[in-house]
Amino acid sequence: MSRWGMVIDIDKCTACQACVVACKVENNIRTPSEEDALKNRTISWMNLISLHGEGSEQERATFLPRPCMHCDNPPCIKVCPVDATNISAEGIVRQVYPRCIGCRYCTNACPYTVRYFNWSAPQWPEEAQQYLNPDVSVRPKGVVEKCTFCHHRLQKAKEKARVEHRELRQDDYVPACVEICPANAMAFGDLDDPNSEVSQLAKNTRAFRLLEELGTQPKVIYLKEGE
Amino acid sequence: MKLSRRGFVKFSAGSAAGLGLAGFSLKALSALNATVAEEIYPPRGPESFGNSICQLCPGGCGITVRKVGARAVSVTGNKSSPINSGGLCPIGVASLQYLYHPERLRSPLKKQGNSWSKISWKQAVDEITSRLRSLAERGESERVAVLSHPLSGVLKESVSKLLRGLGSRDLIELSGPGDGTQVAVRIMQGVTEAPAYDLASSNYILTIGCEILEGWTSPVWDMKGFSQFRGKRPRGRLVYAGPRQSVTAAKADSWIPLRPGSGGAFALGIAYVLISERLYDFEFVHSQCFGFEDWRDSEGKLHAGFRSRVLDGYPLNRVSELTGVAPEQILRVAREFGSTRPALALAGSVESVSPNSVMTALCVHSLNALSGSIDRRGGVLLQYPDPLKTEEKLIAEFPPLMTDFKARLRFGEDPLQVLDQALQRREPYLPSALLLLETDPVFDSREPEDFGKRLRQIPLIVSISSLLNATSSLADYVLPAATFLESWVEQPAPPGVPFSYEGLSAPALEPIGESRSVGDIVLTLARALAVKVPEGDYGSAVKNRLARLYEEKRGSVAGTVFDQLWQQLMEQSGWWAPTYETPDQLLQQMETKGGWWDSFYRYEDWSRSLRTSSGKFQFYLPEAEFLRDSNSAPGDSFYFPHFESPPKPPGGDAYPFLVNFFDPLAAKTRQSALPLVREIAGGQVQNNIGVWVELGQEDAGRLGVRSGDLVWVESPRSRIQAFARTSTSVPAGLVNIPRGLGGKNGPWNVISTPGGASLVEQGKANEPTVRWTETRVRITRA
Repeated sequence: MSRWGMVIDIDKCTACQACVVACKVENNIRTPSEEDALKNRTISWMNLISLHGEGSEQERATFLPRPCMHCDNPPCIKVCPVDATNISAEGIVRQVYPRCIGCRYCTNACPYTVRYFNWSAPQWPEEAQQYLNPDVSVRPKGVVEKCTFCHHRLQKAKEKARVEHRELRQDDYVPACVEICPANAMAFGDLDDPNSEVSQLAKNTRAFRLLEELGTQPKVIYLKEGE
Repeated sequence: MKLSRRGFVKFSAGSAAGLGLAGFSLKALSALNATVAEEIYPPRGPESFGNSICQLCPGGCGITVRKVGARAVSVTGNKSSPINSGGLCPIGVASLQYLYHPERLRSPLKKQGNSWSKISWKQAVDEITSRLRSLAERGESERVAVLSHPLSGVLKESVSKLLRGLGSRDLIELSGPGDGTQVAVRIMQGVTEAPAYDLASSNYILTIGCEILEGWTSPVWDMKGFSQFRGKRPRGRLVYAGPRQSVTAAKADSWIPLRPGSGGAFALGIAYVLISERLYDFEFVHSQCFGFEDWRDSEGKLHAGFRSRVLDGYPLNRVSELTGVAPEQILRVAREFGSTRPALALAGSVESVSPNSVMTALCVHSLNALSGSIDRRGGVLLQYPDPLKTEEKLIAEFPPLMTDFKARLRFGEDPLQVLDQALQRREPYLPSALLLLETDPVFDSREPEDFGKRLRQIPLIVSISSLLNATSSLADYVLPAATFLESWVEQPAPPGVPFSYEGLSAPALEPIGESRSVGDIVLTLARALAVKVPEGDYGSAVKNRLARLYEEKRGSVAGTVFDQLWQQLMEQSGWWAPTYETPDQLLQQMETKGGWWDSFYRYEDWSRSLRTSSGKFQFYLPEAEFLRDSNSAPGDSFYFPHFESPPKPPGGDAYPFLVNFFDPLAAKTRQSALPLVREIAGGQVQNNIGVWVELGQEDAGRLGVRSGDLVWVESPRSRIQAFARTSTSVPAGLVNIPRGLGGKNGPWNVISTPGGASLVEQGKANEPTVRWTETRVRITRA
């Protein structure tokens, strides 16, 4: 059984946000109305966050592409009263939209603020509905949504491998953000496979995880800037 | 009764609570809902893939379009493009919003009074050509002008022939800023080829205001270069000197805040250390440069060289005063730069639209000579010319409409600004008709409303455009253009890459409505005017031209990274083994893979890279005469890279903030109306709609402004509304404002209001220069 994880090399990342846009296109994420944007209700499963240094470090700034951490010990699933969010055997933290009752306990429980609530019904101009991806459902008003590591791509890749009577290969399945990255700053794969690129990179001395001290055991690993 | 999903949950939760079974029942009921609620999936269909080449900026990235049925649902990078090797920037990814934009034009439109009426293609072509013919009869057709982005290949040939058929030579190609550095290379090396900076192989990059990560040359090519620069061991070091903590500054190992407009002085300070500590490349400077040492001319007159001038004029304490950077810091950077090879120095972009900054670029480029990084791996390379470039001069290099500004246009000034001045003064003349090819100069201009009025003086405006944008709204006729995803695309080597390249792609989709490709529209108009243009439709004309590559007997069809490395290895060993046997096979492979290229590069080819009158790299620049004005340094000293303090901006106490303009990546697109691009424009700004202004924390505190507040930014010229963003990285008395990105009329609305650029004071008569570094503003809460 694979344990899917992601490694983001901040040293190579150019903060261009291609991952942010690719995620929105792949996952049918709504374009916010001006009102939504002003109320800070924009949805961005993958987001670029900027950290600015304080005091003597004032001249430093860092950008972090931030998807869902797909924690091995996710705080969000523990508070869901209806099992609308859970973790798959392969370590992907899922969201079952039809089960979600919109209580938003999970959005509050997530220390990484990667869960988004749909405050209004999604709206696209008629013409723009044409680019919606048929592999991903459109979320209605009143449910919480989040990064799925492009879980639908895994299902497709598995089906394809089955039809071709072979095992799933490492490069069969990558999320849209990793696929698009122009700086090759992101890697994706099975953290339990000692030969995978991600498990090799995870051993790097530059590796760290966000808010590790909370015991969430994130499966998104960052490589900090420097040698 | 129809029960909504939400209603069902509410109802069920209510009854569950009523029964006192909330914990357990909620779960059961939600699970029950999951079985009855229908998930909404967009329609399905057979999946297929097609290739294209992105045309939203000059970058030329190969893209792969994923289709479901007849719909395009995603765009990714084409893995076999030598330019982007599978990666793609956010603008390219957002191109589906361009394709399926609600304002897409579906049929030709004619302005009647204040409204549009749909007309047939035949009627449109007949009416437009008959009006052009009547202009010709009255002898006015030589004043017909075409406005477009830089053109190449068949399209350029056809447009040129169309204009020449009418007796006009006014093809005005709008190029973005950034040409200042190109001018510096042209003067110092005597070449016309575009410079290509080898970021990937460099070990040390010093950028002086150059935003290498925000759409500098070909965006993805630059990002790939940066990624390799960081990924190799020893890891490349990047130092950024400039006024704003830009993305490039944040990604740098160190950011050196610089007073706006003082980049040239900083570069000369670095040169001072390199020379005085003998950290420069002796071999290159003494064998391949002219004007470094003092010399006697043919009349026996002694001239002081670059070395003595820098040592006399730019000691560190003076440079420190000019730039606001501590002498130790300059010394540290200079020592690092001088002791690492190969090292690159890069000049900035926003500044480079004013002549002062061509001088900045000259100062910066002299550092590349001092470090011996000219035409060497990891240094400044030159792009190989387009192998199919027609020798015959089809059209004047400088359009007569812009004649007064020839020198200024040539040396890096914004052509749109020059055109605006020509329209304003009706000098040398007002065009009798204007044909726009996929351009929106009204949106791009600094003052859309006034520029629109000036444009409207032209009796006939025809806009070939995919969207009903700010400019096409003013036109008499609008012809619906197919996007690049629906057209044949011919792509020349983009700026920044060193190799020869020709991209080719077939339409990935059927055109929407009655739209046609720009190439086909131009060919149709030309034929209707009985102008002889290449035969067949645009696609076959493009293929006929590219088939000539077969005769080149070099290069190869684009391929994956592995294919590329293999080809390089073969060529270096003197082999050429093409994968095609006939021109048709070549074309077919180009279409599938995205193009043809020749990766070969010969380093230190001085006869190609140093073509000045002396055959050497020139520190002595008599050609810089065009930059001189009444305030310039006297005599010989003007002809060397030097620093002149920018004039003190007017405004004083009434306008306490100096503006530092910048261009985020999102502003580099040719289509400003894509919501996905606008959403990420601010990046770290909360409200991603519209313009923002970055303020120092203390200044903001004094004004009572907090991050996210709406403020008025007012210069002596105009005022705009912007969202405030406060930051400790902005020094007191300075504000940062993006130049473009105007508009706050909702995400899909095309017609928009001006951005930061409208604040800039316009040059006086015969002085069209916009001095970006000299605008002052005041800020009040809105």
